[in-house]
Amino acid sequence: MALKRKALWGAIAGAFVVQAVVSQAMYPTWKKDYSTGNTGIAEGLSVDQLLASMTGLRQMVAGILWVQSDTYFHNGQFDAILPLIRLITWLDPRQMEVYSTGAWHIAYNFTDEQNRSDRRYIPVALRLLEDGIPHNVETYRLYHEIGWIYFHKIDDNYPKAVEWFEQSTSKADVLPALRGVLSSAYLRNGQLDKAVEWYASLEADYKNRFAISENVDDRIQGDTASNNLNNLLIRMASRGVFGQRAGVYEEHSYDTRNPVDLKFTAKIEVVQPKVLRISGNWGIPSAGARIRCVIRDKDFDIPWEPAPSMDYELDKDKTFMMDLLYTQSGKFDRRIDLSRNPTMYPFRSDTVVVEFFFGPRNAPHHIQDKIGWNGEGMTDSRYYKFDEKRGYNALFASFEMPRDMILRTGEYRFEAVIRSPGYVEILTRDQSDLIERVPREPLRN
Amino acid sequence: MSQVFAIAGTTLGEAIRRRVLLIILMVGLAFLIIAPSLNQLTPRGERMVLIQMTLGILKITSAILAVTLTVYLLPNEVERRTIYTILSKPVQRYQFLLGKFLGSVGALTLMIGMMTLVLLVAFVIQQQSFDMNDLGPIIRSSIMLVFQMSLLAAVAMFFSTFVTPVVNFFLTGLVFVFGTLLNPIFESLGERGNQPAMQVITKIAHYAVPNFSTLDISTNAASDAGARIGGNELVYMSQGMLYALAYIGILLILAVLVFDRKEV
Repeated sequence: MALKRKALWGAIAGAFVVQAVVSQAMYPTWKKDYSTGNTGIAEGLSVDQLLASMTGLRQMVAGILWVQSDTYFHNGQFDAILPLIRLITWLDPRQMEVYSTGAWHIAYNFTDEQNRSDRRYIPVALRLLEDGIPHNVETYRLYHEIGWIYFHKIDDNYPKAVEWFEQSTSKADVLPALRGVLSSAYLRNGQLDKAVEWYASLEADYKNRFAISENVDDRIQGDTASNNLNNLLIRMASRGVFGQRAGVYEEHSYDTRNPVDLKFTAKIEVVQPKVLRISGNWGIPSAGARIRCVIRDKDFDIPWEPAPSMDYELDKDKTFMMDLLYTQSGKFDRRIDLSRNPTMYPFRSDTVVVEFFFGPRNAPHHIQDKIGWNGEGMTDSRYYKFDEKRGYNALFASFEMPRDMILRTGEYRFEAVIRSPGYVEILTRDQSDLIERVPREPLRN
Repeated sequence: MSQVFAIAGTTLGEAIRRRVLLIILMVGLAFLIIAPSLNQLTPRGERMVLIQMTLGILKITSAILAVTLTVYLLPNEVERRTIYTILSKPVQRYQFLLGKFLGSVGALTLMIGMMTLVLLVAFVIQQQSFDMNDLGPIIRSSIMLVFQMSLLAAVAMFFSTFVTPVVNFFLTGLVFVFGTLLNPIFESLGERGNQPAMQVITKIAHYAVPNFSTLDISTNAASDAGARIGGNELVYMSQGMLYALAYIGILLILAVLVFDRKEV
């Protein structure tokens, strides 16, 4: 009997070694293919949710929490959404909808009373998307979303947009209609030849596909790429790109050769505490171009790229507002009310900076036809400069005001106005966000 | 061997006749049928939610069935004194244990098979398509679930040789929850953690405790990647089956060693 028991213990030892070896051999595959990915402490889950998540209903719990976060969003409880989204992605890290829609909410939809998004959250949105990438490596979606935030929302860091779009378009499942955006990013990044090459490759690709499949969608995509390529080549020719390369730019009357003098002036008036009226003149008469206006603490500028150590917390003491000023007939005038959102605009810094920026890369095509891709077709005696960081000429004006001024306290209780040199008063409709239009004669029968 | 199969057959028959098991089975089936209507709770694709949710229900129901079925196997025999009749026949104790275990595994396989069938029918009706790319991962997950639950039954069987059914219920439940979280815990504390003592403990646990998370392939069944891994999954499943069989062997031998010295 003792011998039999010894044999059984021997069998146990043997089986133990087998299971341990097999278990360790399986672990790397499990980690790669079957792990839900995120590990950590599930703080914030109720007991029933925790139990459900442990017993295999993680996605369902994540779904319920996602609905809950949507309710918070509609109630404007933005602070409650972030931890919830983190929890959902912990439960179900392969749920791309939460990363993409969550990041869209964070970057675009946390807004003030005048529908300006809270730009302080943009790095948080990027962090959320980047956190989702390791769990969703094989699909284009999150790469595209990150690229889109750099391209469209930040609209000021095109190398990063190009970097992410290059990755998204390299994925097999990228939607055909989204492939062309890489060329747009190349254009804003000043890589004209790359944009041409990409459009040409799309055109060839879809024409080849159509020859095989005779699918009308391939035909449409091929035609779109052809049109985009043709338009781009025409613009390059008309804006003197080929002329410059051939050394004959000075010999022809390109629109970009005779720079328009912007003669930029601005008036910043604090009409009530934290309520500004910003108006001014500039030399671009047609509608469409917008001037970027930033009002921020002097010691706070947003580094758009999330630092590796960045968590989802936000420094609520910092102020950063960005708005795009609509211009028409060479004028702009906008009332910016920051008083109704004290958590977004706390103005704790001693000095506030008001900045105006206009670059050529994100200007509409009809404006670009005049000012060129690098701003060579515009100038300004005071605020025009070559922007080394961005690599093109741009309009940049910056004005500082003390905290007392924006709060209308102390010596600024009765008047708080900054006028740039040469500012000429413009007629505006009182208390309006719009530029005064000259009334037309009524139509007569 | 015929004695083992005879006991297994009797155990299977008893399991099918037990009302409590049938009720659990019916509740599980009912949940599987109503699960598609809960889809609106989630923003994720309908197909994925349906798969994940129904596989989750399948897993929970199977785990409850496995534990409920196994914790009473030995104590009932002792309480009803039928064990004396059986052991007075030319039946070894290990044969009795093995027969009981195989009977409970047979019953579990039957019940999981039924639930999987209902799940597949509900899925095909809900999706209005019969695509093996969708159904394959569900079937593979169910096969692995049989091995997972057999391992759970072996844990319960081992404990039932020396603890009461109520204690056994909680002990087995605890092992199941811990075993289900074993890989995620190892991933966060054993690999990325910065406490050496904790790393050693989680590493030992990773080698020693029955690892149910390794046998769970439902994550992939509910993702788009499910269709992609294909061939690799069969290798992984084979390894998983080998792992489960090895661990079941350990637990059954331990159970035999304990039961051999138990006075009944």
